[in-house]
Amino acid sequence: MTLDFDDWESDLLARIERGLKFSKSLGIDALELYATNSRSLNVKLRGGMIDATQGGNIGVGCRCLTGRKIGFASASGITDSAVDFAIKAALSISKTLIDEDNRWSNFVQTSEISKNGIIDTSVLEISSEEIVNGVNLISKEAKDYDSRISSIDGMISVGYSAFAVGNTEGLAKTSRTTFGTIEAYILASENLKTKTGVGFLVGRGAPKFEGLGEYAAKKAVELLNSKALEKTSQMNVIFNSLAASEFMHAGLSNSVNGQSVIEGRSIFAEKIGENVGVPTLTIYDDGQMSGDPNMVGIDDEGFPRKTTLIIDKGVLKNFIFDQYYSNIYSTKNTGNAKRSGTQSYESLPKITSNSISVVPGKRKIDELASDINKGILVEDILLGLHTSDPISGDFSIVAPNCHKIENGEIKEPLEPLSVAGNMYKAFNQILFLGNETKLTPFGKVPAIAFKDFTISG
Amino acid sequence: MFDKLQTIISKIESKGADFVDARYDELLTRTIIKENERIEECKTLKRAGVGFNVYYKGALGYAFSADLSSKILEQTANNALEIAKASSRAIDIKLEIEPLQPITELNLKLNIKEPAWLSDLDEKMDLLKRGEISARENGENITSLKIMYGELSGEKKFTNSEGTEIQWNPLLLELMCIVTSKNQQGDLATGYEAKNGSNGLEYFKNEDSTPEEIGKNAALMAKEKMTAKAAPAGKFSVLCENFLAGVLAHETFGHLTEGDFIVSKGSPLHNKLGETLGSEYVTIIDEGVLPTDYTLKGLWLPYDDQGVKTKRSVLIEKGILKEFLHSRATAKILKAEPTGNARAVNFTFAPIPRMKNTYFTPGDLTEEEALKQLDTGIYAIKSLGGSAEFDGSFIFQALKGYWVENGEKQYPLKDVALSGNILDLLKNIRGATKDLEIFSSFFGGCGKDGQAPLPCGIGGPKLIIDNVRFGGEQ
Repeated sequence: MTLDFDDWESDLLARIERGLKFSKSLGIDALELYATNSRSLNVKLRGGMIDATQGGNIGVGCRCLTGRKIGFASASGITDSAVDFAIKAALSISKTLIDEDNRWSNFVQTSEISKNGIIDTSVLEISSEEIVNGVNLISKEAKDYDSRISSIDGMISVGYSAFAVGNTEGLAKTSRTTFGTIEAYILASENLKTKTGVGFLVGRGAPKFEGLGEYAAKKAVELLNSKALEKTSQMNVIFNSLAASEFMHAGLSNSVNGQSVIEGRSIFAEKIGENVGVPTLTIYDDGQMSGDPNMVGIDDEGFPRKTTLIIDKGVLKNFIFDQYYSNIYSTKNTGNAKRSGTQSYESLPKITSNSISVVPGKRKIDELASDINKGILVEDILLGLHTSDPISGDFSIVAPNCHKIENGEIKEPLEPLSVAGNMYKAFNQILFLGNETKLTPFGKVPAIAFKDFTISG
Repeated sequence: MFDKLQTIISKIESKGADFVDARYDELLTRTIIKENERIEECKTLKRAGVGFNVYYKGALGYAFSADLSSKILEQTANNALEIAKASSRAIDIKLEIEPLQPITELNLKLNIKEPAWLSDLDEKMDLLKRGEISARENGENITSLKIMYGELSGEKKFTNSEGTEIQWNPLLLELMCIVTSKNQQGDLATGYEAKNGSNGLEYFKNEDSTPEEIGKNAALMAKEKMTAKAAPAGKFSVLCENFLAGVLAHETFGHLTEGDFIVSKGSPLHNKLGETLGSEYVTIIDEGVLPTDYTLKGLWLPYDDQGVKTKRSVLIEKGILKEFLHSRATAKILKAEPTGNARAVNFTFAPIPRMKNTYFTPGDLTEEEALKQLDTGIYAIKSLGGSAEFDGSFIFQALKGYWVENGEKQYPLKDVALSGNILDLLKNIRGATKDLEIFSSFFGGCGKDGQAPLPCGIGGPKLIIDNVRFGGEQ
């Protein structure tokens, strides 16, 4: 029997409530169940090959306590036997453990609620044929734009998901979302040089394909004229909105994470109330960003999602927390518990940044470079950012899509540059912020100009 | 299960499918993660499901289900057929396969003494505790001590339109320690050590892979980095340690040999078979079952997820590009033999060309001789990974390094970021040591098209490479 998406939440809730009853019969002290159901259609394009996958991730994860010893187990599927396996396996771990976790207090208990995101039913109706046609359109637009377009890679992902959380504190909540995203990488080649243009779209509804192929093709072709910079020096660097959103998200993911703060891995640990950035810098961790497919009403422990002020006019205001670490730090839970991965039921909830929003500045997009004498514009891709040191903040990345800035004007494209600095010091190196933002997979962040990164190319 | 899947395969064939394969994965993973002596995570995961690949008029559809009832599985296979039909009207490149002789292989076993999944949790807890004690004893000013144990076990079954039936039991094991120390200026330094492979728990009794050794090495690295200087920026010669050489082989070169990137011409190597791309010191192998001395240190992968026996692929031999890595479909397009490289992270993904164990073959130098030959430059050691673009450009971070002058290590370096283009780099390799090391991580693994982490083996000797760009400070 296939259920309607509208019935998923009540179905998941019923399965969790049955599981909680079963756990009671086993005499379990404290227990939490998380169950999720999702469907997605992913169409991947690589050159002329299409790779389409359809299916649903469905499963259950269980945290179980014996005294203050915590076990976790999960199973794919939400049948009674899957739920019972997870409960029994988690119980067996918690019974075997020797060391108590003395910092444990309780699972989430709250009647508070936050907003759910809009359910865009267009994703329920879109057919595999329509998506395949969309892929074709991206490909056609790109090839029509220029004969030097050599390859088109991309991924379109459309789907919907729901999840439910229940625990022995009496909590039983659900939320759901819909999503439609496109990433397109258009390659242009000439004289052994290959350049990539990026187009993307993030939303909660069926994606609009028009214009994306041409946009990315134009970027790729323009980069074919790139020249080497041939020097190493300190320069001012502007990151466009996509590059800046990835950079700022990386800069916050460890430093303001409550777990890193408490466990001795955050450079900001002792800096609440202190200046950590320029006075024009204000950042929110936003679990309630409308239009964002990541927006749901509750976090993965069932706590209401929040919008948390992290840096206010350069001053560090708050860290982000889940239930466990907010108790240890004696502060409010910020609703940042997240179970990672496509099989989220297999992960324990961990403090994770939601989408971030950086308050835009005043600088118009076409005047971005106006008072930069010598500098670099970096667009879209920051290669290797995930390998920077999240603890010290030192980063060294390669930016494949760059332009030279001279006397306030954006000039010719450059060969890939290596850009190095420190993510945390960078908050104090901000020269100005752009006045526009676009929703990216990392949140909403304007273009940002930084003073004195080390450029080598 | 084989009978159930065969019945569905026949039904889908009767609806017009050209070829169908079905894969049942039942994987069990156990992980224990401790931070500062507290258990952060102790978990058991069971993941079971079936995925169907359906070929229809040159298009391929994939669908999967965790619900194993016959009715839902048949519906799932039908979905795969439907999306293959939709795609068939839009493709430029046809995905078809050459017939293969059916295989029946139901009794594959690896020779290990103490299977991790049969031993008690207490025994694994003890490994972690011993690692922690050793790290605390050897470290200095530790602000964070993280130690992680992971094991993978389970069963994979595969069958297809040809009547092939394969069943085997994957396994992987890892113990990893990460130590963070704070220096007088308040800067944080991180040290790391891990031992892993398709092995039994007896592995942690070997002298160089005891929990004590792992904890000690991580702590000593963090301690040394407390006083390390930032690596200089610019171009230098480098001695790449074994793990880093493995990252190079995998991230910067291996991905460019994957059949889908070759067919789509996304890889700069797509038209370069037979060309000299590297120096005489460059030979890179990708294989599923490593030679006896290394079998248990790498990843054991006898068959891929399309039921193809994994092959020893010589990607590049003495600098000359020899071979690419294929699924059955990319092999057919490029008129090559399938290499057993079609792999999926789990049943929720379609198999795509991925690497197996990828490594540089060793040379004949000792470490001392290699440093002498380097003369002046950077000795770059270990890495938490890196990434590469389709054009061959790459960046990866070494975990630590040394500045070398006159063939001798002078002082430790931190934040050693290497970048460049692999096609330039292979030409600049001018020597290799004789010690080959292979690594296969449970916690790490490869990412491609949203499928991560896929266990892969990587490795090599130590390599001397000229003219490598380093980021870092001036």
